[in-house]
Amino acid sequence: MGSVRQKLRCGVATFVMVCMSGSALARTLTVACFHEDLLPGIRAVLPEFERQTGMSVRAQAVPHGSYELWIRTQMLSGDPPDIVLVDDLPLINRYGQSGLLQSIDALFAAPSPYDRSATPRPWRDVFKTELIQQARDPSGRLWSVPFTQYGVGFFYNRAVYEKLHLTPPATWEQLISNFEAVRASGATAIACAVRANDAQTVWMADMILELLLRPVVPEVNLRHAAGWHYEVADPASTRDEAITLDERLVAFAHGVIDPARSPAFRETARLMREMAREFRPDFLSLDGEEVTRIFGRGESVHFLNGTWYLRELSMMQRSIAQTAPERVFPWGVFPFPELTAESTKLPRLGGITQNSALRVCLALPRHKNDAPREDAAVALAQFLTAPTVTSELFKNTNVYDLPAMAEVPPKAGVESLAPPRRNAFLQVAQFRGYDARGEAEFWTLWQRFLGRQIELDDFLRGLSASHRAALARLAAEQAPSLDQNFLKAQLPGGFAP
Amino acid sequence: MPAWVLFVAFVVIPLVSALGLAFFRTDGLVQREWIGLGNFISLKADPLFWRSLANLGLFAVFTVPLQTIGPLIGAKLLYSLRSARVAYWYRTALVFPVLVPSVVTILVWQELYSSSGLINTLLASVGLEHYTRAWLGDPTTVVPAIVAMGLPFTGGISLLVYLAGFMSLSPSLEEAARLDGAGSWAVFTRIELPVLAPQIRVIALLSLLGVVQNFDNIQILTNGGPMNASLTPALYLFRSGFEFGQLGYASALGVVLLGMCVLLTLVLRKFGRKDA
Amino acid sequence: MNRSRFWSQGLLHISLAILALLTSLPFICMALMSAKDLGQLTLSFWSWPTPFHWENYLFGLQVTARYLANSLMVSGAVCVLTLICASLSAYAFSRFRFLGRDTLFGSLLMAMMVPSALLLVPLFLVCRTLGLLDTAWGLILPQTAGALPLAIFLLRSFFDEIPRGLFDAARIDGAGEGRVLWHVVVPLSQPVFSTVAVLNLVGSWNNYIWPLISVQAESLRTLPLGLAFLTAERDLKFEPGRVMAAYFMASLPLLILFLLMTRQFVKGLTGGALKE
Repeated sequence: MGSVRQKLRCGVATFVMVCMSGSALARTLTVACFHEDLLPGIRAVLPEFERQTGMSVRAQAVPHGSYELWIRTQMLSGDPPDIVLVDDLPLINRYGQSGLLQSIDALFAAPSPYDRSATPRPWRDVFKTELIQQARDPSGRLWSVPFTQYGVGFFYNRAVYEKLHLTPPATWEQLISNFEAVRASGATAIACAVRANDAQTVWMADMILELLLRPVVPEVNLRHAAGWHYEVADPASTRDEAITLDERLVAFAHGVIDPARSPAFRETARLMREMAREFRPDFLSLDGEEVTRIFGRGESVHFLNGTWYLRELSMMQRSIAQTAPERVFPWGVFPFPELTAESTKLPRLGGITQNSALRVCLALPRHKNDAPREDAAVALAQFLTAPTVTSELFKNTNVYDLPAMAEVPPKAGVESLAPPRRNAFLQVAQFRGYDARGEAEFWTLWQRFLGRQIELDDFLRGLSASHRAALARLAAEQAPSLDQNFLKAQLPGGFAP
Repeated sequence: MPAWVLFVAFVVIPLVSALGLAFFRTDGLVQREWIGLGNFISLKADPLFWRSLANLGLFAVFTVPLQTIGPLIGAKLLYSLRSARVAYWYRTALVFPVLVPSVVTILVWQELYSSSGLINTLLASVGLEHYTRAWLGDPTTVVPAIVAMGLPFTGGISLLVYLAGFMSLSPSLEEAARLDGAGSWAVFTRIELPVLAPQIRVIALLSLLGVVQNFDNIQILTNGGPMNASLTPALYLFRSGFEFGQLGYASALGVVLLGMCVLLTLVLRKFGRKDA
Repeated sequence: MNRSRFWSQGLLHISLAILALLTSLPFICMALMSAKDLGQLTLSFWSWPTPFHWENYLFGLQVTARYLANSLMVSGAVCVLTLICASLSAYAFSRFRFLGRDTLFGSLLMAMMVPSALLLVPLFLVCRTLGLLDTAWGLILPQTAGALPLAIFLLRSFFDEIPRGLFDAARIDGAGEGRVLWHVVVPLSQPVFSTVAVLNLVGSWNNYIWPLISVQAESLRTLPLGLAFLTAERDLKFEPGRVMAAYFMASLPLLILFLLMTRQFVKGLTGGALKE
């Protein structure tokens, strides 16, 4: 029975493809990829797509330098690539809101012809639900197809741990006491980059904030499906939900996600400043790459980063081994520790989620007068994200990122950075704010706060003002798409900027 | 004239279309809404803008004199050399490093400034631990630290401009002065400097323009931080336009910056004329 | 040679040597880095590379060989075109009084003050309209136009210093404007011409951003662009030494050109004699 259905589905897929290739005969698609490490995998699976559809595909690596300008000019050129692989979600969302990208929401509801799952399902069910939630823009819309996920944890020097008789910590308290023990031994506990745009501290803050905000998820997601309720342990419980801008405006006005009034924000900031005491003193000017070099030289005992650094560190150590084998040291990775009742008095639901964020996504630029070409790009995106194809794709790369597809296994060696459990996720608030300008304001405040130039209350007040202004900007920009009746009922006085 | 065709096509037209955006609220893609002077009004109320102007002032105060005088000294030394062959080699050594891509220079200075870098190590080794710091991570030292990357301020191109000036000096004038018993210093200040005045003005103006334009170094090194202590208007403009998606606002900033430059040039010119 | 002159020349040599060393430091660092592997760069940034990774230069050579012709063509054309167009305009500005001269010159100056980041995207759109994208002219013309204001500015300030008497003498001999320019102005202005040439060559040789956005075809990639694409295409993130070696090799052709070109300065010495 199963095989008959399988055949039937294959038949449908072939039919769809034949229809498409009929109109797209001898078409060449281009894939622009800012992640050279993914490229070998993509190239390995493309011949199969070309064979099935009769189209040809050119996959091209684009240098990362000045990529914002490259994307902008490509978008404005009238002939952008068919698929762009990039890890800048705010940028993608901005192009989406400007109408330059295909909307993914509608596409996700239909099945993907390349998905070989036993039971028919919409395309979106191929992906981890929580990643789709992360990819949504602040209004709840989706402009990108999730592709890889960045797991975050602490890289540590195992030699130092053995010498000081330390063990990888399971809780926040143990983490801080390990840091203190390292510092007491005269070494630097952790090099952390807080130069504007270096996200390491923000990843941590977002992990903590997400955990602490879970109890208020129902208070934010006010317009939900009938009978919906939030189930932390079941990632699928958020499947059809999204936090939209109107809900966020209401939640902010009610103080649920207002940094100045929300205890979760206060607690997150407090904990992060507790850790910042242990940072290497030049943390305000360090950047991510420098941190790895510092760790590789043995000048700091920890650093926090994502899956990608598994490869970076192995390569560095392999290279060091050739000239200075005595400088090579064993290293390991432990996940971000749990918060306990000792760390915070606030109520918690479930445990900390290891994933920091979505990393690489696929964006599908629009070709407004060429519908078949747009369809062909969708078909290629569906092909590249079909679990069977993606498994093959990842096998041909050195990429340690976690695949965004639930059924594709991650590479061996990445276990400690993979989330031990998957939690239901709704993006109720973001620590750094809701648009790029707000984010820039956040960085100023954050550097002041971690650099001990302002106190907790001032920081939260400033952050609150910045969040409020960003939400007001978004509300003004997207006024037509807001649910005015809902807003009137919830906020009779309107949203005060 | 060919120059003007090129100039209009590739400078004036883009310029007009870029600056025209200053009166719109736009991300420069498709959305566009006329808001008149709205951008300028928000600019006036934007503390970051004023902060960036103050930073620019600080950068200019450090950079312009150094970049004007440094190459002059270099050129004078070269000019005073008696052997033309040796001068040729020194000149080459002083000028060709402009070839080094800025990526490399930045990497070198990052290594110098790092908190475990060469500068701090040297300071510590001579017992000055007290003065070690995160040079680029400290709001009080970040601007001088970025300026110091121009060491030793002989700035290849400016040096050539000065040298060209020295070359056009009349040797007989100098000889006559020396016969009258003028020392080297007197020759330099009374004869050479006045003749070189136009070059000095040109270089000062160019280095001022350079300071106003420069943002990519700062972007890579500190991205305007820490706490906006090294944010310049040009960097703020870039970030507003391409990071924050507010190209209209960025263009307004560009217009204001341009206006100020023009004003400053006019003022400088006026003073320049008075001298002459 | 008397004793004091001996000492002053000695002092000159010492200070010039120090200046030259400091100026060349980034270049020396680049040379050192280019022979290291990732491990050596991580652990011993400043020290001598042992073992010395010669094979990095093979990569450098390969990149350079592949893109050298494009870079030479583009930079050469930009340089020559700029010199021709700019000297014509500068001559006109310097020699003739015409209606709106000062306004025009002022507009050139203004063009130098516009934040360059604002111009890139509109410039791209102009080139798209003109069908210049993905062509060699699309690389050359906009860069030439961008270099013109500064070139005209520098040339004019030099031409202004040429005494009127020389022109009048030439005119009496019956020379037309073209001949005056070619036989009087150009020979006198060798130093400033080489300065402008150096300035242009360096600028277009290292330009990455304009080729990046205006060229898609591999056959048109210039050195910096080709290097960036190769780094991405071959996943060379973990071979920074090779990338440095490529930068190093890419700077050599220009260095040779420099050595040849700055020799013109010596000829410029005669300018002083003519000036009386």
